[in-house]
Amino acid sequence: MSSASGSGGRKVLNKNQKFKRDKLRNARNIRTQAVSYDKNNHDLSKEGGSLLNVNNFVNTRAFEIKQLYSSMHQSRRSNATRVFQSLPRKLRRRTASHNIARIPKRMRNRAKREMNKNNNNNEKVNNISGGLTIAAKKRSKKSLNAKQFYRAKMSIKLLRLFTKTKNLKMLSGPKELTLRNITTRQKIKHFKDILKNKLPSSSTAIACNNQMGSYDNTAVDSLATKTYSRIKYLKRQKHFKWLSTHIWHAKRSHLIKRWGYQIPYSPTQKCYKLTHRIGSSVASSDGNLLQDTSFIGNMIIQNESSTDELSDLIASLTNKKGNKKVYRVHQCYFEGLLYNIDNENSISNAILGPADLLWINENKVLLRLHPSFYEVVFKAILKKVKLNKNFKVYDCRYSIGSINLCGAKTLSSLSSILRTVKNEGKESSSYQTFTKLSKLTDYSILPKQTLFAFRALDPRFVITPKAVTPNNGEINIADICKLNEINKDEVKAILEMLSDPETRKESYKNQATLKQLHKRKEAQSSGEASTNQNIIMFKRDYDPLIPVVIAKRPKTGDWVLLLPWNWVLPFWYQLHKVSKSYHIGLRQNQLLHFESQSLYFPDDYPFTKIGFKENYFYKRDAAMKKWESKPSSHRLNYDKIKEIHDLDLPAIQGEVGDYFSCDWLFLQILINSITYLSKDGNDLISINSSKTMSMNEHCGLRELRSVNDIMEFYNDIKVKPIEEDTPILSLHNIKNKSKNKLNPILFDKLSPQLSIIKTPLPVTPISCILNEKGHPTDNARIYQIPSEHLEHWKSVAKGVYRSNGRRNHELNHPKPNVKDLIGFVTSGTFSLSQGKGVGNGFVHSNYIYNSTHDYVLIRNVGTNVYRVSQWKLINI
Amino acid sequence: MVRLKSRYILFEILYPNMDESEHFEDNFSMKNILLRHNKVTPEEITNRVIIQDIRRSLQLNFGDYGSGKASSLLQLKYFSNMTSTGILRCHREDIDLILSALMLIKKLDNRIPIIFNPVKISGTMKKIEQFAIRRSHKLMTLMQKDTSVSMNIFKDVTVDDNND
Repeated sequence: MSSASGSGGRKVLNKNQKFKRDKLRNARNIRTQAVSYDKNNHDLSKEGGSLLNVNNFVNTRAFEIKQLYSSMHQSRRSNATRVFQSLPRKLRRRTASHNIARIPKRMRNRAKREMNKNNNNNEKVNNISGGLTIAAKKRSKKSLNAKQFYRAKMSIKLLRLFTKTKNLKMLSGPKELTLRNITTRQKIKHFKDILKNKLPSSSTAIACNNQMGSYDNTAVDSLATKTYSRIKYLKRQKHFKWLSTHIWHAKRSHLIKRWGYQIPYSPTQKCYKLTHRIGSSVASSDGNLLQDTSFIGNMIIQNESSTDELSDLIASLTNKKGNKKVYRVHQCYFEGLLYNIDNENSISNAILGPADLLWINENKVLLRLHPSFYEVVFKAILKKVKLNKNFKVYDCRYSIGSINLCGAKTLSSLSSILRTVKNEGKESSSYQTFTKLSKLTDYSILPKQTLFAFRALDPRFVITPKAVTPNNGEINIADICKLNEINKDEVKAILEMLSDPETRKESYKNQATLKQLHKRKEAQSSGEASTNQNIIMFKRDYDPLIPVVIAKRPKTGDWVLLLPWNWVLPFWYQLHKVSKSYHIGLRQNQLLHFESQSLYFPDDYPFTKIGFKENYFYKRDAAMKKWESKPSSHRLNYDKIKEIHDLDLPAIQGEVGDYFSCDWLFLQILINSITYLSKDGNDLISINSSKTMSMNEHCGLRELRSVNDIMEFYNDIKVKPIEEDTPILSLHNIKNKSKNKLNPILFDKLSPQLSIIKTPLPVTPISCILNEKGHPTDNARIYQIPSEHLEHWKSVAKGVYRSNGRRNHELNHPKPNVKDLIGFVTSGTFSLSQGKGVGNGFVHSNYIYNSTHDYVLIRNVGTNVYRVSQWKLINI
Repeated sequence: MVRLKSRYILFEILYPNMDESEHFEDNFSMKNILLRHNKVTPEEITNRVIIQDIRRSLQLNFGDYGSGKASSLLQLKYFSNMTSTGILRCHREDIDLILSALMLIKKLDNRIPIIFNPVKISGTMKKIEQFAIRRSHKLMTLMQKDTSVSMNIFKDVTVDDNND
């Protein structure tokens, strides 16, 4: 208080502040050229200004320009910014402020200077383990006690021995290492024995043909044990297996533990618009999106003797679709629904979920399944073919990996990392067509069946990935048409290789470590000057060749790269060296599905067991917990929402159905009961005020007479746990509206209530685009438009305009009743590709058959606002 | 918090041809016109002198109120005697006052007849600097061109593209 008094109102600056102020002032000062005063020639200082000659004029201007530039530059630099602040977001790191190893090399000197300047004298910058960091605050120097010391020593010893065995190209099986009852000493002894005998000691030991420790982990007719590439991370993968790119992803993505894997969920970097721009449409796409999809389980089913048996099996799995000639003989990539074939444990012919299928030849098929039902299918198939000795089922979950790619630069980026060598003087024809087409950006012109397969070199041989320039001319339509005919034999041969455990193992032979690669690169650069410095020369008979398959998925339009499991990581690293390659996770995958108005498994598959659980348990629980964690004043009170429907029924308070999920049980009971009540042409009564409640004698359930009774009936049922074996929904795919009709429900004479609960509701997927403003959210309710309101809503959809030409959004809309509820939105939000609110969901199939127009009403949960939208069928 | 909003004025000092002894009638080229008007400002005309002149003009033309209002944030950020160009800073609200005051200045230091030509007004120093750079470049190229342009062609006379 006293310090400010003597300064006459002006703030007193301390030394540091003065320095800062002066620094800023100096930086902002623009230097001026002094007037050159020539004693002999007083011309310049003459009164009234003096004339310059041309040369002087130009010189003075040049000087001024220079000074102005430097002033602009200096005043920008004098700001209190640090180097890492100028980095693009992709290169920013949380620790960059105190760890210069996190800053690009060209900026490290400046960073070092700034760090020293910022730190006070007591905190000097230290050089810790190669990187520069601020010394941690005095760490308590606690030495290890005897027990800890012994343990540390032993674990080091163990790791050292393990590396030694790995270097000797023999890897002890993970079984010995994971057993809990084996002590560290026994483990050490085990390794020493291996080293002494130089032979694998037990049957589970795996002989390794490379220093990386890669081996093929395929199980025949049984589920494979998990692969462990590094002993260090063994324990952490006990319940949830890591993908081979896990460590890469752990730094860059949020991961979730689902379905026995740790799967990248979403990149830590914001990427909503980027995903839309690159992934969803071709016109705006200038890069590619990568997703490690190795968690999708691969299974190979083989039947050497009979093609029909295998074809029948696939027919039963895919409802007679996957065994069609296009897929079986012409090797089209199949995407479709997978059906349950296990009759005992659950309902047969229930849909499990989407799956991919690729016929290797007529005796062998590759199945690609979602991990949530992989084991179910695997066991069911085993059970079915148990008695048939001709069948062999390979579990290739940990032996074939895959990367999903989408975006306009997919082929171009793949071509920049993939190289082949001439085999017996002949170049691979599939690779040639691949490089030829790699310049393409619109993949919709390619035929549905587009498969490339060849033996590629280790992608790390190309040091800086560069797109190859095809030397075989321009792309023409004739090439594209006969694309698959010319490469047919080669593709078949490579597919065969990829599916064979021995060849996969062969592809790991002498798989180079980074150290080895670096050594080779060094040797090459010091040798002949004429060799291409960007490529490590291929050594025939030493370096491995990797069978890779690139397939275009016809429905989703993205690409799948199939390759041996242990090659995924090198490919992944190299693909990220190509510019404008971005990684995505499950969430982005969902977004891409949503934007193309298709369904995403499992969220948009409520008619499957897994999708139903996802909606009813996982997502519901998460949403409910989030809601409950809020104080009651800050959360929406769903019970007290007024005027949702035209007529308020006494049985409903506020929102109908469950608030946090798509309440299919509610819809099932509602629609089945309405069908029951109006089956003989009876009128539907909303409330029956005269009658009191009565029970059915046979089943002990409420008698149904009015809509209100249905609501009460639902309230009775919902408290009971859901029986998982009786599905609530069944998918009813409508291709042609006039062709097939729904079977009418046969109601039990004595207790129709049981029929109502037991009969699954046929539903059909639709995609709704909102005509007005607003957008649907997940779990939004879909209503049909009552016939008396149709005129009004049609005019709203067309647009009601004010006299000033603006659209009128403040109309009074008539409201439907609860009996008009026909479905739910499973995923809905504002769609960037449509520029409007879009909701994908399911409605009762009967509505589709009976509808004469394509308008429905959508209401978000917890609101009483209805939005008119236009629907179209989604084909799955 | 309310930010102090200011405006920057890029101006140049032109020297109208008072001296009849110099004859250019026979050569009306762009180059000569530029050379005639863009002279070196004498050494004794410093930043302080210019600011004083502007203040005086404000006082004279707009009275105590005008001068008090406008000169609160009046600063000369830059002035180069060699090119006779400068940058003024003032309050956003007082920009009209300052411009009129500049216009009404006829003589610097009560003896040198000049014209204040405000070339560009901007909200940031950076944009003013960028404009000055562009303008100087343009003048330089004009000067280095040795083609003599006839005075009659008016479009060649304007050197300021101050329409952005």
